[in-house]
Amino acid sequence: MKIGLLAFVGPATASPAVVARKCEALGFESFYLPEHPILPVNHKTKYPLSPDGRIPEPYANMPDPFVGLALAAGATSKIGLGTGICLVPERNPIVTAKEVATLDFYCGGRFIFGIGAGWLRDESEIMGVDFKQRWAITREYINAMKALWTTEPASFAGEYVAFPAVRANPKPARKPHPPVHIGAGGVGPSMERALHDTVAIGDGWAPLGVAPDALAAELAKLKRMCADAGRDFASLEITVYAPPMQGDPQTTIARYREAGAHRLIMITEKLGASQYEGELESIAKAWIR
Amino acid sequence: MKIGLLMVFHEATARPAEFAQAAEELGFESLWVPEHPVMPVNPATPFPQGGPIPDVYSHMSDQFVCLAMAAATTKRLKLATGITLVPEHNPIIAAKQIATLDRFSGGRVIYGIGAGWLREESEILGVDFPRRWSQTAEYVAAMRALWSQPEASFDGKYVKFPPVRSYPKPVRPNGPPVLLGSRDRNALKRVAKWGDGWFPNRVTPDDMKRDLAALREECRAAGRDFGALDITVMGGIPGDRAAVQAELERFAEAGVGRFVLGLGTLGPDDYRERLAKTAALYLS
Repeated sequence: MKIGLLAFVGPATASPAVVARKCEALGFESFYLPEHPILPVNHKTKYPLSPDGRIPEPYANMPDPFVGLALAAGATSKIGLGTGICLVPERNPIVTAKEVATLDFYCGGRFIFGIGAGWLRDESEIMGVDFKQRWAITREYINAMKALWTTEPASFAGEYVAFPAVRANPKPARKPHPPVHIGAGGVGPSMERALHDTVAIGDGWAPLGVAPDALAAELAKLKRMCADAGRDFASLEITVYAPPMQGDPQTTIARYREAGAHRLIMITEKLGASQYEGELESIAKAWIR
Repeated sequence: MKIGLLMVFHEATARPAEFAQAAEELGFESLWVPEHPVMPVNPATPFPQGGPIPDVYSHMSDQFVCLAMAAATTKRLKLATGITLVPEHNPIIAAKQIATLDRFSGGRVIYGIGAGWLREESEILGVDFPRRWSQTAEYVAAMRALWSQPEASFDGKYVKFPPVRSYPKPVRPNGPPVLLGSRDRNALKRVAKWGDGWFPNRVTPDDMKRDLAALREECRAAGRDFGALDITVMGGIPGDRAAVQAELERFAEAGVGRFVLGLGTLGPDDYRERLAKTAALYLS
């Protein structure tokens, strides 16, 4: 099982370069950074995981993921570097494509493009996103980026992004492009949509906090959907963010392996200059064998 | 005179992390990385320097990714955009990128900016091309609000947002210095009004003597302290060490504080040797 770390770095923590270097030394397979460009002060959307709906402090403190991962890339040589997750519709896809390609080119194909469409409507709207269409926009942006990564010259004609023949280099190191992991899940229709998007544009699926039994059930559905769409289910990489503990770490890993997961991602914000080493060592001791 | 290096990183060049480390070890003051996110095929706009647009323009690596990798392997080297095409980027995202780089590099960012010259590129990226400098001025003001205020809001023609929080902030309270890389007719007025410095290219010491006198006047009219401005030029000087040092001395006398040398393709195998030769010519 691959064990990754999602780092909530911010103004009061160690640099992503320092944290990533320590993760690499401890044997973590990958280092992820989340994204929220801004946090609206007066948000109407309630945060689903806190009783009063208030959004926790780290959400206002997230560094830009591409700059943060490039800092990490300059300080490491083996560890995977992922966005966990990049809010695709909030960014210009042409600029994002160049950032992804540059990062992947220079880190030797270590980049993992974890993506999502956003859940905080107030933020999305400030960033110019038609919130109800955010997954349609995301699908189109990803297809536009794939055109820029794989063809020369590239052009695209969509509803949300269009460009005439352009040249954009470097191309990513990984061919045909870095893996796109759909960072979405939830219940009912939103889970259905996440699976459909994985089949449509994904190289992997990466839900948050799904338990092993539920994961196995969803993966059975995903396998059928892949067969219907003529996609190879076995080529998809399955990641779970913040897996709920099943007894102890090694039992948890075994349960997720049986369910079909390839990577588990631990999350921490205890990354102050004086605490990050101890925190990472304790996570590594529990999860990495 | 501070000596910086301007380098386009692409598939055939040295890599940013190693290159920056070598530049710092040799004593160069700053690394400047330009950008063009895309190059339209067969644009009608002529290349300002004449002839076809060089192929390297469609191979420019993303400047923030390059500078961040450079930051990871250096401690003192200043990290500069040379230049960034401001209106081609969402200012909220750009503000966060610059703040992230500045915070985690210990305040080493210099934000060299321009508005773009290639209309076809600009329009693909959503720029109001005829008013691109107005758009640029507004974006910079919005970024400074995000950099300096705990809860920033902005209400402009091109960008508006209600109170938002955006951290990390840059190390310096008003953000990194903003240097305008432009020689168009209103450039000096803009520098005096809202810039932290000026960064023209392909200029002579005599050009600078004349233009800096004009800039001093513009500063007086705008109530700005001319002496606080960062005056940087970009170019290349032919000849041996004596000729290079003499020309740098003339630039210094004209009031220039930094010379940024535009480099060609420095490959992965010869960049150390060529940088050492460049250091022998340019560094005092």
